Formats: sequence, structure tokens, C-alpha cells
Amino acid sequence: MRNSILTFILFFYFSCFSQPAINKNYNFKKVRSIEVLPINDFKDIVGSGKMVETSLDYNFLKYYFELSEKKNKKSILIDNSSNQILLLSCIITNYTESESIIIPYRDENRGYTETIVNQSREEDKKSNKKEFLASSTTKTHAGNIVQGSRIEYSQSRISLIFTLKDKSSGKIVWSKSSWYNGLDLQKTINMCLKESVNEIRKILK
Amino acid sequence: MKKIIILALFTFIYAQENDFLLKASLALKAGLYNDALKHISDSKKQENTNSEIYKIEGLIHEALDDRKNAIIAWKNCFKYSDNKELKKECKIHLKNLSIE
Repeated sequence: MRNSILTFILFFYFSCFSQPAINKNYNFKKVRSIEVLPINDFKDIVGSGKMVETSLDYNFLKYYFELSEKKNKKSILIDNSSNQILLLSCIITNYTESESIIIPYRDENRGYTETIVNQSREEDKKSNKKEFLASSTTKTHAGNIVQGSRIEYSQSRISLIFTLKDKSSGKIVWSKSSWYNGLDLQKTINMCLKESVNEIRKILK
Repeated sequence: MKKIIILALFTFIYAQENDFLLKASLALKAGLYNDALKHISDSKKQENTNSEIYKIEGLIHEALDDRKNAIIAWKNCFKYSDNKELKKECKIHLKNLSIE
């Protein structure tokens, strides 16, 4: 039991997640603030950008960041004694409010192999010798798949790409993509942003 | 006679399973997540190694803000799935749910 838990944890940590790309030479400790650039709508879905923007504010506030909005410019205040300013941009690469998912529910019988081994001992009356006789029969049962009912539901899906750029030099210093799916659109957006905001929090620590 | 009884029993169990999933689908469409969860739990009594069922269970628990049970469902989904994409999805959900 302990081994299986340990294997799961190790697999979990060493598997390929969408890790952020980071400029290791950049000093994130000297960041004064992060200016959040307006998020454009995804294709023709009016309001999608605003929805992500509002959810982004919520997530930053949840992680105890200080937010300010002056003349339609939104900023995350980090450290007044520092001088570097970062620009945060977010691109919505997928915004599916509702997609229908149908899962056929099937019962699969993978079959089995049956081997019968017969052993017998015979005595030759003339030579008085004992002989062992062995024979085996193997039967393969193919199994079958029974197509049953199906379960149907609709889910939301969202994909985002975040980029942090240094305002003065124009260098891109951090980038991350993330996606999430769920039954509820608002929760799906929140969960998708939660991970990215958490990553930003980690680099600013 | 025995064969007829066995056949009737199998038909009954199989029909029950289908019925649970149909009810779960209808409840999901109506947004009645608690009811859907109940029907899914009933269907799992017959077959509890279907990763897709655990995926839906995980999604419902997330929608209901039940983080603890969502983690259990996604772990089971990962355990029983042979699908690479689904396993990746499980990992993404488990990672996000582990963030405080």
C-alpha cells in the first residue's frame, strides 16, 4: 500500500506538466508591480475576455495580492521599494461554454485461456518398464464486448496563455499555458487561472 | 427453468445499470448534480473500474466544491484509465485540486 502511494506521488511529480517557461537571469525579487493588460475576447464570444479578467482579479485577491485600478489601468502592487514593472498579458486560445460529451458505457470481457494437462503412468508388461505419458490441451476463449447504455453530459473548456514582459527592456521573462475543463463555466475559468496565479505567486516569493 | 431464471436475473441487473446511467445523464442535463452523483454511485455498485465514470464523478464533485471527494474520484480515474489523454486530464485536475 505504502509503495503504491509512493509510486503515485513520484509519477505525479516527475511527469510532464505544462511547466512555465522562465528567464532564470531575471530578478523577480525586484518587481514593483505587474500591469495587467486588457484581455481580448475569444473569437466572436462577446464578454469572454471580461469574464477571464474578472476571474483573474478574484484569484489575485484570493492570494492576498493588492490590486489597484487607475484610469482603466489595472495593476498588482507588490513592493514599493523596487523599481521593475512587469506587463501581464493573457490570450484566450479556447473558450468553449458548453460541449456535449457522449460516453458509450461498455462491458468488456477480455476472455481467458484454459489449459488442461493430463498425466498418466503406463507399465510395459514385456519389458516391465514404467512410462510417463503427458498431454495438454489449450483452449482460448475470445471474450466479448457488450455495448451498453451511454452517459451524456455537457462540459466547459478553457485554454489560456500567460506572458510576463519587462516593461522597460521589453524582454519576455515568463510564460505559461494552461487548460481546464469542468461542468460549470465560471468554476472552470477560476480553476484554470488558479494554477497560473499560483505560479506567478511562486516566482515573486 | 434454471436458465430462464438466470437470464431474467442478468437482464434485470443489466437494465438497472443502464437505468442508473440514463438517470445520471438526465440529472446532469438538469444541473441536479447531487442526484446525478447518487445515480453514478448506484451504477458503480455493478461495475467500478470504468475510468470515465470516475471522471464524471470528479467533475461533479468539483462543481459541488467537494475538493476531497473530487481528488479521490480523479485518483481512481487515473488508476483505471488506459487512455493517455484521460490520464493527462486526471493529472491536471489533481494538480489544480492540490493547490490550497
